[in-house]
Amino acid sequence: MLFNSLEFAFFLPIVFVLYWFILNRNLRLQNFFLLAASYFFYGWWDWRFLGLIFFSSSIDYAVGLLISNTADSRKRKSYLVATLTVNLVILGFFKYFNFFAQSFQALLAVFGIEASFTSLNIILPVGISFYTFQSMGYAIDVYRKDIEASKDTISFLAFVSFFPHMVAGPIMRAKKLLPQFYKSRIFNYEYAVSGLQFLLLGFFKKVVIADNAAKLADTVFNNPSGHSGWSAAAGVIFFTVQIYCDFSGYSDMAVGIARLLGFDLMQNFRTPYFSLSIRAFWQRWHIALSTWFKDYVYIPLGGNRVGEAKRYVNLFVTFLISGLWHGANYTFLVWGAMHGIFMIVEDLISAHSKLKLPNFFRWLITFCLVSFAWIFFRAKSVNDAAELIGNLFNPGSLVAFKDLLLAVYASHQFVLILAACMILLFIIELQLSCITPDVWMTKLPKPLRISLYYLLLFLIVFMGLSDLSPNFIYFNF
Amino acid sequence: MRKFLLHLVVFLLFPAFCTFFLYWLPVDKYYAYTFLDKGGCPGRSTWLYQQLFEDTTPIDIAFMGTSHTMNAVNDSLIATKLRGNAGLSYRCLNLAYCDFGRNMDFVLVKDLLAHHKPKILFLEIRENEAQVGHKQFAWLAKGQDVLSAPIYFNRSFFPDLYKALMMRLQYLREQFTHEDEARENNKLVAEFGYNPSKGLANEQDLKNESQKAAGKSPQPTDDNPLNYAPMEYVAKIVAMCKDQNVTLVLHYLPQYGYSNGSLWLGNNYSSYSSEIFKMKQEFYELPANWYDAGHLNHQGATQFSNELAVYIASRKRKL
Repeated sequence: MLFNSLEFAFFLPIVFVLYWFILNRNLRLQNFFLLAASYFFYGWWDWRFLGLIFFSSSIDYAVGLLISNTADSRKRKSYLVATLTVNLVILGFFKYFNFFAQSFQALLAVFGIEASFTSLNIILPVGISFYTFQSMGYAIDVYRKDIEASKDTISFLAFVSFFPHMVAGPIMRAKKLLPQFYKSRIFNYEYAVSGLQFLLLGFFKKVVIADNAAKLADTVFNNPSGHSGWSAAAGVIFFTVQIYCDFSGYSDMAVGIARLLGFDLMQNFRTPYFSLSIRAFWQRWHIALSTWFKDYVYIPLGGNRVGEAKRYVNLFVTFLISGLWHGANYTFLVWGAMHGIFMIVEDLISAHSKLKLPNFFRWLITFCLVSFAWIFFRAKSVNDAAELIGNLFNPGSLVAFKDLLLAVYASHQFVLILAACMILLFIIELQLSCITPDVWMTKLPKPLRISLYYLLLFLIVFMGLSDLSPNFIYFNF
Repeated sequence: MRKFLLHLVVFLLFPAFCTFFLYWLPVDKYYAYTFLDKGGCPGRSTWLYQQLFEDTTPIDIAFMGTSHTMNAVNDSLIATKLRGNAGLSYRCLNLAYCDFGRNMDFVLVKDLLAHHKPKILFLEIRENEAQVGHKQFAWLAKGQDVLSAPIYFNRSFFPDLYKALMMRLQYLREQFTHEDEARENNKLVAEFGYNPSKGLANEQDLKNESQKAAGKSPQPTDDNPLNYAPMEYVAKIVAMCKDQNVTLVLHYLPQYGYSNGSLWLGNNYSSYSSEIFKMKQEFYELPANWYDAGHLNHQGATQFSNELAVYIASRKRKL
């Protein structure tokens, strides 16, 4: 079930009413209901994979209890290794089996060895990377004694499968989210309103900006040899806009829906495209995943406590794994590697050079590097990406670009309205550098605030709902 | 909580009013018909618009129905036969549209009778009524027709409300942004009407269909509540024809294997129209007449159309 689907428009109000009006006096029942609603939400897509999410979370729940019940460090470690292995095997099988099999086959072929591996027709379960990482994070935290193992099965299962963030994050730490399932939740007017504000902004980003930007981005990336110069650059920029609005829009919706149910999810994005460095970008982009990798990969590898060379290797490896997390394709590996290299080079420059660029140029360089790396992220293959990059530097006529815009958006007026919507988002984003959307909206004078609500709602309906787009990009990860 | 819900309801009043207003938005018929091209029968709806709204040549004999009719009624052959054998110069037109749903027949007949006055309207009946409305009904129907559709046991009612709303939103947007001009330039111009299928059905498929049909109850399903909505549309079509003094004939084009015995809805149909055009049992049973289990092939269509021409000629005096 998608947040921007008709089914969800029925699902959410029903859940909201039952949750607050019927089950509000019994916490255990409320949590059980959330678990059932979350499984229903997930099962709507494919009920067969409910077993997988149940199995994965049950293993981590049981291992959490086993780890907490023993003081023997060897046993604790072996339990942790066992659960990490199970989770990674599940993830590896569903997401990476074909990729590794084919890569291994290609590698053997280089040495003249003919090998034939069967490619399996595996369906990638939606959101597997998100809930597996969340569940694994819990086991690691219990092992590190950062949190107590949960003794409440229902709460734990609901924590892993909590429907607002199950399929595309944010990946919440058990320390932050699990205790919220233990405490009874009282309806709070301001909190619920802030949830609707997040929801509205999320819908605007996804339905109005991302889905419309996708039309041009898809046209260019689906035929990289057919576009050059301005058209190719527009394709890259539109994808840069699309992926941000798609993913942060989803995250905003997740935060909003959780707030309607009395939960607090972390904000996953803090205006990342205004960053003045790649490091700052990663502190503001997909924050949940960045901190997950920092805490569970980078720091265990040695983090900043090792020598410079080892630290850079760790950084590079972390970004490489992060790239692979996004998908089983060399394009994601290249994207991860690029960001690793950007970070290392940036670190070296700031450590060994006294050069201080004006903020505008720092922003411009960061934005261009990030956008450039997105080419690999979006392209179907490394060859396609290379072709598009080559075409970026070919002179393309403005007339061809204008024709492309018209072919994609059918009219000048539509392009102008879309441009106006992007400017509106830019203005909103400028306001959100230091505060959250709900705080900013609440601070607006009432007439302006209500007008903004209606404007966003109108644009969502006018630009988006009549042309429902089926997918969120991050569902694929 | 009460305050929250109250504020939410008050906030949503204005959008709800605007939404309701959209159903009364007059959608240009040309837009609606070309919008249908997004459905499963590309080009045909634009052609239908041209025949119904633009071409002022009188239509004497009109055929309405689904793809069963599209493949079975050779309109030009019928016109030729009528001219050659009976000296009748009638313009015959196969105005069927693909996919099932009696509500679509209702809209098309309404548009037909608003601009033309045929002497005979042939309306397709099959072994049973389609118990779900046509997928694209809401795109073509007026908002009032969508809102006033039969609600009980009508599984399409709410989806149609939604589709009608979405279509009108798109219409509004395209009027504002002129996106529709692109479609205007890309519109398909083709000859439609009779849609011949040259080929022979797989005998095993036909056997399977026969077995399936044999397993079903041969009893009339007049009392099945899921037939209420489609039969209400049949009643509306009958009423419109009566008002305009148009003769209505129901022509029988079932799936292969369903021709045994009486019509499932025989009682109801005969109460609506005194005339049902049905071929002999052997015709429906002969595999050589079928393209697949649902559609006649060119040979079957030729026989069917010849019989129709004879039937129309025999009614000449009554017309």
